[in-house]
Amino acid sequence: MRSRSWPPGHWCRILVLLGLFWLRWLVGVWRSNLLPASAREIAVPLSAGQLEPGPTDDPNGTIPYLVHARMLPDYLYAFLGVLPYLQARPPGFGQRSHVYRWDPKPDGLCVYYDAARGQIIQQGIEEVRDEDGTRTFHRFTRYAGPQGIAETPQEELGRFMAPISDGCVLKPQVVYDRTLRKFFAIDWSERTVRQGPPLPDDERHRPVQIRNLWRSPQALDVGVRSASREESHKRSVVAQVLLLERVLVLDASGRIDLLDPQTLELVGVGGALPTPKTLVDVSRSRRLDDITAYTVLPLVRRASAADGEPSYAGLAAAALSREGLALRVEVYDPNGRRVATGDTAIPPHTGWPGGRTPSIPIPSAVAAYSLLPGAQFLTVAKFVLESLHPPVLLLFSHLAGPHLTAAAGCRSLALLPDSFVAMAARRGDTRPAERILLALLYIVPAVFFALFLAWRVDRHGVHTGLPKKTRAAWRMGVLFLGLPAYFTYRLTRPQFALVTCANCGLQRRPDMEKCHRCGTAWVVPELIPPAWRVLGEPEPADERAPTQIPQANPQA
Amino acid sequence: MLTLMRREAYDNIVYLVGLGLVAAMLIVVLISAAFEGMQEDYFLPLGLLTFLLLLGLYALGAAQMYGDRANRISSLLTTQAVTRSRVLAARALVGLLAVLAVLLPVVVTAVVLLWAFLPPLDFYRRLLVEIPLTLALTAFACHSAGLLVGWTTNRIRLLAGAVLLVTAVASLLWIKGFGPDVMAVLLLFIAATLLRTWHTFTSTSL
Repeated sequence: MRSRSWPPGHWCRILVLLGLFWLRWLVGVWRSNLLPASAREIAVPLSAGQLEPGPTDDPNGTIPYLVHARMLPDYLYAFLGVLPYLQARPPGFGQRSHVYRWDPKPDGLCVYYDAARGQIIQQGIEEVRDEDGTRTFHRFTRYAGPQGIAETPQEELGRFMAPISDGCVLKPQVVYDRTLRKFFAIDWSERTVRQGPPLPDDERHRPVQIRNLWRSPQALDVGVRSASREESHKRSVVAQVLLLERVLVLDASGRIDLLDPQTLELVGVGGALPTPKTLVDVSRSRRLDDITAYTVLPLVRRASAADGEPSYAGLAAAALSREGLALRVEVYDPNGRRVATGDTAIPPHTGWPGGRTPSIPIPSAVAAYSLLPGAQFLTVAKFVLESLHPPVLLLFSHLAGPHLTAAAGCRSLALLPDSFVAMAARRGDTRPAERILLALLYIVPAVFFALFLAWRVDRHGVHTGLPKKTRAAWRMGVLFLGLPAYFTYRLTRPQFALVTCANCGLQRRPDMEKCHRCGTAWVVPELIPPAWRVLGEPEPADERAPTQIPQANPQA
Repeated sequence: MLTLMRREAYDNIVYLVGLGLVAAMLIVVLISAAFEGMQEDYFLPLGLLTFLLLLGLYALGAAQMYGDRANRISSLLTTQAVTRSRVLAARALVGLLAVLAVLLPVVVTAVVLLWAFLPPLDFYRRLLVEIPLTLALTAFACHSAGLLVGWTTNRIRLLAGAVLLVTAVASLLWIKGFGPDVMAVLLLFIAATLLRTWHTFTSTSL
């Protein structure tokens, strides 16, 4: 029975996991919709004089600019598989693409990395003026390697092994090679390639993104706007164009380094990606992968009449938490010191029907779990749904969940990186033993539920007379895999028409020699053919008396 | 086997023609999307046509088994030199061929359009392998689900199966996207579904 039921039961298990996923997702969407608009956005004022030239020591001066960040409402749809896949990979758009620019028009400019040659290639059409002043257009292809640029592919140019480029064609294009551990500056118009000193071969420097620092822009909207004007004024593009003296480099640890594009050396720390305030304190164990979305904007101080050049004025970084319920913005000055922060929160004295009125700001993630109307019901629903998950997968969620990326957590069927059990593993304010104990407490309902299901399966197995080994296998399967295994059993269990045992009176299988309940053998009546007789007539004499054997005639 | 497959295709020609029409519509939408610059307006029709394709393949599988159950075709065939395993294999192969026949023209069209409008294929070779392969496996999973549910005389069960299973399989794609992990889940689903169908089909009395 076991060999015939387990493999075909996979389809059932997949369907049950899918059903549980969609229920959890609905609860997540519902919880996200609980947050009022005021708890979805932050406006952090920039200090006077940070962006504008002029006197900066006026404490009563008006706040000229705000860093405004807002979580977009449909982020939970955005992280479901297909869209991130299509956003990450297509050439020219995706972060994983090696096509840095692609204009499909006949005269369009294309810049891409050719892995076979190990060189970055620029193609396009350029205008050439002859000596007599006539203009001609001709198609060009240029090849850039670590050692220089040429019109033809040459071995002397060297090879980029694992490049990360800034993705935009500003002058110069900054490239970091993870194998060579050097920064390069490609100036296509001057046809030069400069390289910086190699980074120390240790774990302290692992650049992952250059200049445009963002992830999942569909979930987060960040900009710098004027406080005096209502209209939003995004300065990021302007800032990138103006900012020639510093290039932002994101490290795998979440640190934001400053690169001097002239010397191609890291000249300091510009700041760090913020850690949003979630339900549990994860500040001690923060990782880049724990952030669902982020955007970093460099701030540029406008040119004054005196110095005439725009200068680097710090940066503003915004990050969205794993479940998308908390957003944090941090502003750093040019020296990398944090000067302002802001978290999404329910403002104090905000009241609503059926809800408590807080006297202090409540972090949005905490409010979405406990304070807002309906939040507690959703928290219980989330916990119940997680308890329906296979206990063994919950245990693995505790062990492996914190190592999964936030985006992967949104589309995980088997492991639950955003579950309470995984949250316990991410807590930074407790010791490992306490985290394990907490996780076990969270798993207890799931274990009891699995025990209940295993008991039901075992009872049915006893009822239908399954062999002991088969029952034990099903018991263990249901105990470890919970509801999916139980549904598999229900759909694949053997069906028998049972009969009443003559000895014990319980139901027994007719195809077994002994009753599986009391062990009694079949009491099968001996099948003797009935004696035929015709009622009302005397029986023939030969049936009442033994057949008379005719005596042999002694005279014969 | 070829005779069995020909017969299966002939008996369910309506579904195959319908699938061909859906594939033709997909190609038309892809071409117009490419010339219009792949606007977001095209995502909805592309998604709906893909869902229709999956539903059509489920219907093909269900019709193959439902027709057998209603008309006792395999009972008749087993009186000849044919086993039920071969009958089921012929049905699965017809489904696989239908998936390939429907998806190949769509993929070829997409490749030609990408070649015309986007950078050299080297940059998205992985995309061109992962997306069609995942779609083909999803389509075949729907056909296998149709084979599983179709062995019934209960029309309500057929309709409920269509809604539940096709939506579930399509949602798997929506949740996980394209790639090796979802392919592994789909392969597991297909294997389990076909095995379950085989158990049911071969153990049914004549």
